[in-house]
Amino acid sequence: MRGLVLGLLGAVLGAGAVVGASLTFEPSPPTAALSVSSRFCTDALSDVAAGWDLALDPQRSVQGERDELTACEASSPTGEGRLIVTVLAVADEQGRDVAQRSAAALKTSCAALGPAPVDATCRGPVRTAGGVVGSAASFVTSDDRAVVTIVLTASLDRGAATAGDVDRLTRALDDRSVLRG
Amino acid sequence: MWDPGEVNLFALVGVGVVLGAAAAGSALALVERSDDAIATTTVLTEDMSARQCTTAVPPEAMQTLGIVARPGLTGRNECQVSLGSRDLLVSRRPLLSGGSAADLPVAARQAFEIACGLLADGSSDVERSPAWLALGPDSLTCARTPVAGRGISEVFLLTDEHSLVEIRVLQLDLPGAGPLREGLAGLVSAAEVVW
Repeated sequence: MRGLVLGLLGAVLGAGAVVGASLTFEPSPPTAALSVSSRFCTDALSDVAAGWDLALDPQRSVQGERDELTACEASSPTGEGRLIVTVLAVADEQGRDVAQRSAAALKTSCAALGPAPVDATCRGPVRTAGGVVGSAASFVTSDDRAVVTIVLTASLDRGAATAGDVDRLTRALDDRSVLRG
Repeated sequence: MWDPGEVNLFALVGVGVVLGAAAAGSALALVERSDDAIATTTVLTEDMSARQCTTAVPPEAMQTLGIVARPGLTGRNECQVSLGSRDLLVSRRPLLSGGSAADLPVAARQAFEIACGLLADGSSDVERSPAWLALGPDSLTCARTPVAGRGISEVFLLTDEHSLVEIRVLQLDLPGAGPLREGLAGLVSAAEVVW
């Protein structure tokens, strides 16, 4: 009887030690998603929007539990010309750091756009039955903490000319300091 | 010298500690693994049911659009009526957040923004939250409608429950944009109710 009691006491002590240790050495809280400046859309897109005669709408953002999406939109009166830029700022989570999370988010963005990602970027023309109407790109920023997606469309006769501006925006927004405003 | 009885008691305590630690460790590992699974597999891919298909394509909207037939599931999470030159398709796009369920609104909004960005076809009107959809100022929709109401129309709707719904209509025989817009508004309202 005394042996059984001591054995049970030992089991309780052992379990207590493991639970206590797991609570004491709990992993550090996840890094929060970076914040995008409230002037991001204006600062980053005004020049390109003006070049295509697009009016910039107010910046919008959606806050998730850890991730944050900032969306910019500029459009022509008919909607034919349109510039959409989204910045998905990701946070790390248990078992996955921001680089892994942003890589997964890039895959999703690229699947929506069409081209497969190569070297943390995907880009390509926006095609319709009539021909090329625009260009799109998605990429992970240099600090791995955000996925930026750009879609610029225009009329059929100017669709191919959008590629240069999408490339320029890609290079400009790849710098994390721009995203932090 | 050690008393054999005492040695046995120490051994019992030791075995108890080891067993207790092992049991607690296994239980904690199981709990952590299930948390992880929730965090990394948050996907909205619930299949569309036949009932949802019927509700999402109400007869009134079909009549307005001049497409009168029974809608059916395609097996690709879509509800469809196909009559050759008059087609209608309502689909709910799957969403993958890559994070926790609480981040799904972010993933849904991003999918919606990209879908709207890719809507232009170089010849049709593209509108963001058009008033003729009669959904209120905070609704999230974008629509592409052909000039004079004849051709392919496409509407994306982000519902309050964070579902991204795509509605596509091909109609070559409508008398103008009025019936097309009215029919599309009916389909969008129905989708809001279903998803």
